[in-house]
Amino acid sequence: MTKVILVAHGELGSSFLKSVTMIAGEQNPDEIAAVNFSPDDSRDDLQARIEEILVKFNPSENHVVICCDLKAGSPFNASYLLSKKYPLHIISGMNLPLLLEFILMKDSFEDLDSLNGLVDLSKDSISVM
Amino acid sequence: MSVVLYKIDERLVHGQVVASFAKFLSCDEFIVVNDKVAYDEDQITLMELAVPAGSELQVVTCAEYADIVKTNDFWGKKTIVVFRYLTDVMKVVELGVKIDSLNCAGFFQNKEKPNAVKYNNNLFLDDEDKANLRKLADMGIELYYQLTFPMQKSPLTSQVKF
Repeated sequence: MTKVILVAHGELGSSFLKSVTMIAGEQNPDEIAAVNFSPDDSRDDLQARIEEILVKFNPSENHVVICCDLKAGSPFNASYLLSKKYPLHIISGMNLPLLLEFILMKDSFEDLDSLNGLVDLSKDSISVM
Repeated sequence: MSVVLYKIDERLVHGQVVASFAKFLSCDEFIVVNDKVAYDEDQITLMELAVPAGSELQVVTCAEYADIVKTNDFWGKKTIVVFRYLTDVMKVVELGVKIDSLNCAGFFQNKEKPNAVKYNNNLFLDDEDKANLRKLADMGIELYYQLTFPMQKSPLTSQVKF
């Protein structure tokens, strides 16, 4: 099974999850979780909170994907360091179209290739009129 | 070549440094100075991911930085130098490196500094930090606080008395 953790600056993580819920209905907290990062938090604390959920999601048996907002920001950095300890993939630069596409069909995204396909698709979701 | 910014930042090269300072100062090289980080492959990889494409990155020990200055071994035209901790600044100054001004917006909470007092989200200082800051100020180094580039520089003393 694919499990997803959203990690971003401020309350973006939990806000994205709320918006996904608004559009796609209630999500299973044993499969999708969000971690917020406030200016008051330390990076060690952030990493520990992500790790707690990661362990619960069992990355050796499940395909765990962490979605972050910004490459090289603290949420991404913490996830990267955890990826040295646990098998997981990290998507950075998440947006709502990507999350909807991903979360609604998550079990069909089982590996890196499929995630690359997801990301390519999501780039097309950005447009201007 | 010239160093356009000396900054203390425990978070090293990251969003604020890259997106604001580097962009506005048009810098093409980052040098990160800290004895431990110079050998930390994970941290080095994170920094390589963070710097804009085409910029140089050197991650060095304090002694190596002093040599870079002595031999003028900078790889870019405009360099941002980031020290992880104030103690890294003290070491390079002791090795003879001349620093005119130092941006101090980058002291964060840290397990090794349990007595640090929070002055704001980017200034957690303990007594040793304050004593070192006094030493630097006495040497005539301008200590200031500037979180991101468009924001105004303010003297460090406006944020904390030391």
